[in-house]
Parts: sequence; structure tokens; C-alpha cells
Amino acid sequence: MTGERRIKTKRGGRKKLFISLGIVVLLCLVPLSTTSPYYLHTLIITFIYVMAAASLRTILLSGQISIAHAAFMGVGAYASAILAKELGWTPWLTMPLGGLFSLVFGAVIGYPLTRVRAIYFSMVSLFVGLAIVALLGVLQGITGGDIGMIDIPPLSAIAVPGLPHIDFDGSKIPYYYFFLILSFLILLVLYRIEHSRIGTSWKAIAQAHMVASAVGINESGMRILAFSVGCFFAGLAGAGYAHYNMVLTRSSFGFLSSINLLIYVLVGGSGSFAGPIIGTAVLVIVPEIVRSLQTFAPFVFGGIMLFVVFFMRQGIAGLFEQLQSKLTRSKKREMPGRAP
Amino acid sequence: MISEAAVQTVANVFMLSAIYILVALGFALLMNVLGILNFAHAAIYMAGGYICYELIVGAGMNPWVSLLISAVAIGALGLLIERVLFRPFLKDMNSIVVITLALIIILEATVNVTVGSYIRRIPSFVPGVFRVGTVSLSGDRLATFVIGSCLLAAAILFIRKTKTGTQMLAVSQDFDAAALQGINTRRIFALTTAIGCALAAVAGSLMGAVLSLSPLMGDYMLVKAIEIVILAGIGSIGGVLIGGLILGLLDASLPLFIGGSATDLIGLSIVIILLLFRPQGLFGHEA
Amino acid sequence: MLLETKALTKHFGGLAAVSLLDMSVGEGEVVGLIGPNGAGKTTILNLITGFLRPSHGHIFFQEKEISHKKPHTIARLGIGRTFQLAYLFPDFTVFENIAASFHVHPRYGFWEALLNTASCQEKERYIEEQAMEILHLVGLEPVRDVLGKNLPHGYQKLLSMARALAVKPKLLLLDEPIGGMSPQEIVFAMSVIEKIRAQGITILLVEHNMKIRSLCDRMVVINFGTKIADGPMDEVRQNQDVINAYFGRDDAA
Repeated sequence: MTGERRIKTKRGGRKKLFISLGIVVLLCLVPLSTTSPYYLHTLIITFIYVMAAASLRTILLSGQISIAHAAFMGVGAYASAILAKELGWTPWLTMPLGGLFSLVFGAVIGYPLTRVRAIYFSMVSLFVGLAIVALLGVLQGITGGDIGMIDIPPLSAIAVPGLPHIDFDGSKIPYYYFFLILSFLILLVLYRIEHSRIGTSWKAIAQAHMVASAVGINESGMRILAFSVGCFFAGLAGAGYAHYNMVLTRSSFGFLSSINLLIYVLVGGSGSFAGPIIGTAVLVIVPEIVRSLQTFAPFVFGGIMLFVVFFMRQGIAGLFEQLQSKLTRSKKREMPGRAP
Repeated sequence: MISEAAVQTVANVFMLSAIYILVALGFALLMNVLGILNFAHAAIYMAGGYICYELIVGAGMNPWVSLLISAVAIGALGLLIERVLFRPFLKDMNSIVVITLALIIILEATVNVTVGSYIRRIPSFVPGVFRVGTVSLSGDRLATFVIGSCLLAAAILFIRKTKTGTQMLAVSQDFDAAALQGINTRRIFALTTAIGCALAAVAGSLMGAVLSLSPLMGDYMLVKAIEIVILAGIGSIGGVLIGGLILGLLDASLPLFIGGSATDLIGLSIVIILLLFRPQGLFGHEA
Repeated sequence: MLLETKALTKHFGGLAAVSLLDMSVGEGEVVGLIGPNGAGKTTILNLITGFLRPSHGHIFFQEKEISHKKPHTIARLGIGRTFQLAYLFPDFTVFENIAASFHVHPRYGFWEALLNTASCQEKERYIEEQAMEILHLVGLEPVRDVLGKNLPHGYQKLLSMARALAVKPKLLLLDEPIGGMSPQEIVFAMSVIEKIRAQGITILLVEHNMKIRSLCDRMVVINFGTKIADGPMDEVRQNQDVINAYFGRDDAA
């Protein structure tokens, strides 16, 4: 019995691994077919947002809907940028530090924040996000306030003996591969966490928090953990963005961006791991394709959102799951018969 | 002698509070009666202002008539939104979030495409200046305060004294019980949304005359509305008045001393602390 | 005494839901907590398990005070509970519900889980075995892959018990374990409770349905938040206060 079930998971897992590796290989080939900086840029931005969206979903897993996620990207971005620019440290060091800074910030704010109930959490997170942006404005001495920060150092060249020298100064291609690899690694880590006992306890808290407490799950501790982990990767993504864009303005980490991230996750489908990935990809790339109809892009965006809500309850990823379960009759939904 | 500046500031406080409260009241009604956080409420406020502008400047109508038409039109829009977008999803918070966010995007894009996203000024409703003692107050500011107060008084009387209003309160307290009592909850939902949206439209139009219309006014106002509702607390309609006054006081006076960003930070911090340690706000019940 | 309360009191606003309650449960006993509706029985369970804080008084488990501890700490000390409304994890299958409830034994840390170490995998295997055992004990084998939200009521109650057993409790609190069940289901559920008792687990249960009395060593009767009787069923049912509580006073008699 147990064995049978485990095989099923392994098979499912193996299939997913192949699909993701396949996608990664395809993505690796992109710069070989086009060197247009525009396409590369769009994909790079997609990678960054995928990291942010996936880490937002981590927070969502524990039943908390955060509207502050972009702000935490900002925390990591500014932290890394300031360390690199003012102290001259290499971005390879300051980026994880930026993530760490965001994690600590998130944990400290999370301590009281995660104790409040669902809808309040969302409301407070909205304000926390706004407060962070306001704080960035107040600290204009180091952040440049409304004018923003410029001359942020790009990633320093990789000059490891034995490996080819890689410069991040000229074309976008090295950045492309960097973000491809980074996002893949981050997704791997997030996937692992979700499918571990930690992820299970998050899902338990989200479904029935009283029951979770009654079986020994430390509700608030787990919530803070989810929030902190989410903030870490958001900070990391933000830091990456800082050294790619080399310019930072605090308005890019505001309310609207946090909302966008939430939309990417919800439209893609918050119930599955692939959801945020699909949602981000669709909602970043499709409007770019429709760019010629510049003024109508928002309508496309809003239209996609409404369409998904009305017709795809589980998000776009849910559509795939429905197809999958129609093709392979899942046992889960059926009641096998009467009482013992 | 009271300085001119001080009086102006006081006038600003009342004017700003009036507008804040008009928007926050609609938001609170939707939150309490329908149980949804209508993120698009402030976008509706903005749309109301721009419609009024178009009617006055584009169609050359009388300002007061335009105000009325804008309110009615937006109220009708509210009915449509409630029926088509809200009602099917009232229990599903995730979907409502996505829907209201989509609404914001669509409304802002519509305004962009039709009227253009420039900062505009609605021509005065009450042109000229009134002298009160040694102080002069602009007609519009006064009008805003007067209209705002009247509408608010009317709204509160409606809720407290009329049968429909009581039904709204009933639904806000316990939906199932209200339905079992035979209250037509669908009608209440529709009416609440219409009223809330109409109030927001009036606020938008008044704001457009007194200060200006801008595509970002919605984003700004959304934060204020939520702040006020949190200050007031769950279930408290009257608390919205106090909350609005407090916030109006803060926003009209503090920036003179410490600047915009810092004022925002203070307002946000107060709300955050309140939410964390006294989530029922100043007047709400323990939810 | 495995569990003891001393002068346990809980106020809600001006109302005393539980008032100066002294009661105890000895190891190996099955004690029934009964009383009219609204008497405060579930409140008592909530107080014991940390979901409510006492206004006054003390609760002792294995001689140690647990009055102000958090629910998850109390679960880790060895008290398991079910809820009146059979709360469970609606989006997990029956098996997953049980497996997800193993948070007390075994314990493992963040990095262990993250890196999927050998010891972590071993613990996972252990959990799966244990979950299977509980599944068998409670008779939920036939429905192990059904989602919690699709379970019929009787099975939900059984699942609650299964879930509570995952914490390896020394004391099990059951809130209306046979509430809303059909006669067949009741017979089966009671046999399960008997099996649990045979494993040496102490049980305190709240129940309206008097069929449960054959399982109980003793009854504690609660009315208006205070104890009005305490003893074996035969004794208790002859107690005048108990009769009044259930049937009201007959002043005309």
C-alpha cells in the first residue's frame, strides 16, 4: 500500500523533473538564436519576477496573503546597492547580504505581523509595504529619495582561474544566464521546502490553524518562518535587479508592484508550485507581445485577470491539473463504498 | 489674533476630512455589508471625478447637474459591478482580490484612453471667496464641507432610521440571520454598492474642483480609505467620521512641518500599530 | 492524577462560563464530562488545551502546571484533542491528514528537512508506518485517499480521533465523539474508543449521547460552569441536582 503510493509520487516527480529540465535547456538556447537586447531583457525581468512570485507563494502557503512583497524586494535591492556602491564590496557578496537583510527585516516585522488573522494580515502588510517605501524616501541621504540611486555597480566579472573570464559590462547575455541559473536554483530550493514537512505544516496551518496547533505545530513560529523565507528570496531577487538595472527608484517597489506580484501568483494559480511561474510568464510576456497596442495593454492585462477568475478557478496552472486528472483518472475524488 | 494660515489650515482639515469620509464611508459599507475589501473603490472615486469633468468641460453642462449625473452614473456602474463581478464570488476572497485589482487596472486604463491622463482641474462649483470675519475661505472648500456633511448626515440618518438602512445593518452583522428574517439580501447588496459608489463619485468631483484630478488620485485615496476604516474598526460606521477627521487633521497640518513622506510614514505607523495591538480599532467590536 | 484542575474559572465579559471548577482525571480512566447544552463543557476542554486562557485557577498535567501554555506546547506534552465540529484538513486526503499530524514524535529541524537528510527520510518512513497503523486502528482504511472535505460526517469524526492519536497522547480529549452518528457508526466508534483505552491512553470525553456511558468509569456533571456531581454513572443519575439540571425543577410537585 505505502509502496504503491510512494512510487506514484516518484513517477510524478520524475516527470516534472524532465519537463523542467527541458524548459531550462530550451531557455539556455535562447541567446543563441537571438541577441536582441529587448527579448533578453524581457526574459531577465521575467526570471526576476518569477523568483519574487514563487517566494510570495511560499508566504501564501501558510495562509497569509502579503501585499508587501515588492517592498521587501526593495529592501534587498537598496541594501545590496548601498553596500556595493558605498563600501565597494563585490555584488556577489552584497546580493546574498541584501537577501539576508530583507530576511531579518521580515522576521522582525513578521513577529507581530504574523499573529494577526488573515484579512488583517493582508491589510497590515499593505501598510507595511507603503511604510517601507516611505522610509526609503525619508532616508534620502543614502537612498537618493525620489530621485533614486544611480551608478550601482554591475556584477563584478568572474575571474576564476581555470574558467573563462566572464564580464558583466557589455551585453546582457551573461546576465541572462546568471538569472536563469539563479531562478532555477531558487525554485529548486523552494520546491524542496514546500514538499518537506515544513511545507506540510504550512499547508496545515492554512487549512485549519486550530487543528494544526492541536497537533503540535507552532503556528506563529511557522508563519514567521514562511514570511522570513519569502522575504529572503524577495530581497535576493531585488538585489539581483539592482545590479542588473544599475538604477533604483523607490516607486518601483510600491503598492502597484506588490499588487502585480500577487496577481501573477493568483492568476497563475496559487494552489500549485508551477502557478506563479506560469502566471508571471503569461502576464509579463503577453502584454509585451501586445506592446504595439500600447494603450490597450492594461485592458489585456485586466481582461486576462477577469477571464481567469471567471473560468479558471484554480488559475492557469489549475487548468493543466484538470487536464491531467481527466487524462489519468485520479482516485482522490471518488468515494469507494460504504462503511467498515 | 488667529493667523490667516491657521484658519486656512483648519478649513483644509474640514475639507479634506469631508472628502476622506465620503470615500471611506462607501468603502466601509462595502466591507461591512458585503464583506469585501473593494480595492477598486478609490478608482471609482477617480472615475466619478473625471466623468464630472467631462460633463462640465466637454459637454458644457451646469456643474451641479454634472455632479448629480456623475453620482447617478457611477451608482449605476456600482450596481453593474456588484451584480456581475461581486455577487458570484462573495465567499471567495482570493477571487475578489483579483477582480477588484482588475477593476482598478481597467478603470484607470479607460480614463486614460477616453479623457487622457493629465492632471485636470474641475471648474469651480461655487466660484469666489467668502469672508468670515477677517478670514477668506474659498467657495469650493466651503461647498465641499457643506455638501460632504449633508450627504454624510443623510447617509447616517438613512442607515439608522429607515427600514432599508436597518436591514443593511442587519446584513452587516449576520448575513445568515438576516436572510432567514426574510431580508432581500440581493437588494441590500445592490443598494449598498450603489450608494457607496455614488458617494465616492461625489467625493471625486469635489476633490477635482478643490484640488485637482489626477490618474494617481485613486491610489492615494485607497490608502486613506483603508486607514480610516481600520481606525474606525470593524462594524463601526460612525467611527468612520472620527477616523476621517483624525486623518484629515494629520494630512492637512503635518506636511507643513515635516513634509509629505514623513507624514505618510506617521499615518501608516499609527495604523500598523493599531492593527497589531488593537485590531478592533477605536470603535469596532471584537471580531 | 494525570490531569487536575483547581478552581478553574473563565469569564467572558461579565459572564462566568466556568466557575471554580475542581476536577481530576486519573491515569487509565475514561471520564465522561456531561451536562446540559451551554454548560461550559467545550470551554473546559479549550481551557485545558490552551485555546483559552483561564481567568483564574490552575490546570495541572502530570503534576506540572499548564494553565497558560500554548496549544502546540500542550500537544507536545502529550494531550491530544478532537473538536466538536470535526475540524480537519479539508484539502488533504485522510492519509495525509493523519501523516501531517505527526509533529510531536518524531521531531526534526529546519535544515534536516530542507536537505532531506538520511535521518529525515527515515523519520518520514516511520511516520508513514505509524500513520498506517492508526489508519487501521480507526478503521479508515477504505477511505484513505478521500479528501477531507469529501468525507461523510461519521468518517470525519473517526478521522478527528485518528489525527489526535498522532501526537501519541497520554491524555485524549474527545469533544462529542459520537455526535451526529448513526447507530451502526456509534457502535463502531465506541469500539475504537475501547481499543484506544486498551492501549493505556487516558480519555476525557464530552458527550450528550448517553450511549457513551458504558465506556466511562465515571461521570463529571457540569451545569452553569460548575461541577454538580462526580462519580460512577449509577450514583450520578440519582443525584437530585443532576436531575434538576436536565429536567428542570418541578415546583408544582
